[in-house]
Amino acid sequence: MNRPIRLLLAAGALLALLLAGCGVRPSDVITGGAAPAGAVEGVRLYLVSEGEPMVVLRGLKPMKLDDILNLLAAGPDPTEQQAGLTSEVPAGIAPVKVGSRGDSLVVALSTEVRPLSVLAVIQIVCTVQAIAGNAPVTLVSGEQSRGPLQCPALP
Amino acid sequence: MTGWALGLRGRLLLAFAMLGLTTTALVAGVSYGQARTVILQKAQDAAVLSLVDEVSRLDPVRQLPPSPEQLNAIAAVVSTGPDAAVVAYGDGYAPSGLHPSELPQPLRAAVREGKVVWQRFSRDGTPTLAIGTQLMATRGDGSTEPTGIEVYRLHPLDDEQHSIEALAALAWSTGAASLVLAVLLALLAARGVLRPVRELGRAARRLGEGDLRTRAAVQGGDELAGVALIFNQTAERLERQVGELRRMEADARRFVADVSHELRTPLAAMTAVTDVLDEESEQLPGDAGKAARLVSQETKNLAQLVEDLIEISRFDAGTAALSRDDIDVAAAIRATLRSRGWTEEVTTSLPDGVVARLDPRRLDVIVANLVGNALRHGAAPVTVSLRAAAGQVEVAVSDSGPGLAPDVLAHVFDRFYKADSARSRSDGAGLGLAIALENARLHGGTLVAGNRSAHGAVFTLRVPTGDPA
Repeated sequence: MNRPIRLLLAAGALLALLLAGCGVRPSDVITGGAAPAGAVEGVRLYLVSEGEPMVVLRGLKPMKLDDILNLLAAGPDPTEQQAGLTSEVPAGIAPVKVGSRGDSLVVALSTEVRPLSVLAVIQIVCTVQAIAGNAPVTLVSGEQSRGPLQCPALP
Repeated sequence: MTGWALGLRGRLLLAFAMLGLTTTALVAGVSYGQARTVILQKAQDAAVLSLVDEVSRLDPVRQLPPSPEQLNAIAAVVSTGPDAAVVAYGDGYAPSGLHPSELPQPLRAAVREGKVVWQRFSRDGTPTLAIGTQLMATRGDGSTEPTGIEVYRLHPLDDEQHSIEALAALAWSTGAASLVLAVLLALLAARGVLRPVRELGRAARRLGEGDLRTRAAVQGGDELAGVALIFNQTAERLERQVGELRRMEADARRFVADVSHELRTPLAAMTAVTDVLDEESEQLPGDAGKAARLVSQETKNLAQLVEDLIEISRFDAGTAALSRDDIDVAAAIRATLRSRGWTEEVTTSLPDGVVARLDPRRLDVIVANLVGNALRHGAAPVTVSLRAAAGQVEVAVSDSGPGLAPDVLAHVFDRFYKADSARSRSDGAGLGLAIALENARLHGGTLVAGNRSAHGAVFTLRVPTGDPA
């Protein structure tokens, strides 16, 4: 292959590159900053969606922890069930006694804490922290205790 | 040199065009790419910021999962502009000019990661930016968690498309302009290089045609000027050497002419003496008579040789002159044969009335030579035929001998050439045909030797009739 032909090929490749790169072309997904956060009002409960804790809001007046935990134990309402939400918290966890031990919040449940599933514990901890603040939460019943725990950071 | 028959001009053009194109393509391509990135990034960032701003200023969410009314309310807020939007929660959605299935699937998957994401895609042929984000909820500790509400908005990029197309058009026209410029520059450069080359070529051609005084013009001090200088030196040396050779040749010819002239006078005296000797030789006894006849014959031969040499010298010196006259060619040929005593030996075909303007003495020399040769070297019958055609007179002298061998044919007109090296000296010096040829040429005609298809050689003289007065 001689020189002019190679030159022509190079020029052709350059032109093809130029032509191919013209205009606005589709891109891959570009990831930016954190998603914007908005204010929420109402009573926050944590249910389970596809194996992950998921916040739900009930448009109710602010209420006591016992009532909120009762609502949690009652499970998802029909709208929530339709959206695929479930709950693993058994009935009868309330009434509770709330105390403190050091920095952590101690919540004594009316049922045994040992049989509770991991998701159920997270549901309860998150729901408690949503109303009572950031302090770590320890669930106790008699001698049994789980915690202290933090509601996991969610994406 | 490549296999292509590209001239210097073509190669220069190609090189300049390549250079121009490559440079422009690189510069225009890179700046086009940069400008496109900047334009798109600006448009995308603005669209994303606007959506993020609108989403973060939404009314507080009161219910999750949201009611259809709530989704509709959010959709109404985020689609205030002309851009289509959709708000989705799980499988439910509130459309505003957009169905979730129209969104690129990778974007929908990426939204669930909790970041603002966007993607360019082609929507019905229009380049479109799709932006998606979740609505997050603020927790008590300031961290955020997803609410499951996803907001998508499309932003058409046709304005940007137009700007980028304008950029591309600009790049193309810049490229075309630079190509034109490169070609012009190449032509200019080619002219500068090619003019001296062409002049050098012309000079070389003139030199080759024999004009030894040709010199190339030496301009400037570049390589071409060096070549021209060497050319001139070569031409000068060639001219000097050829001049010297010519001078030597002229000297030699002049010497022959001078010698011939100097020999003429004593030879005339000798001829007169040998004529007397010839007459007396009959009465001389034995060997003395033989010797007298031999001297007489050799003296005649010598006189003939000197006459031939003088004739040749005249041709060489260019001083041979024609004295033309209107003659009847047939009569002239007959006179030649008669005066040599050949009338009986030669068959003729001489039609009367062929009149041409020729030098009768030179015609006599030619015919006598051809017929004499035919009689001496060929075999009877010797035929002389005359033909007039198309302004030409054609005299053919043929014999019936063995003909001319090819190697003889090539040299038959050379001076001092003898076909038969064993031939006796008395046959002549071998100048006859050379003189006949020079005479034919002097008339502007030709003399050609050949063989007849049967046997025998044929010499054909063709001379123009001139224009009979």
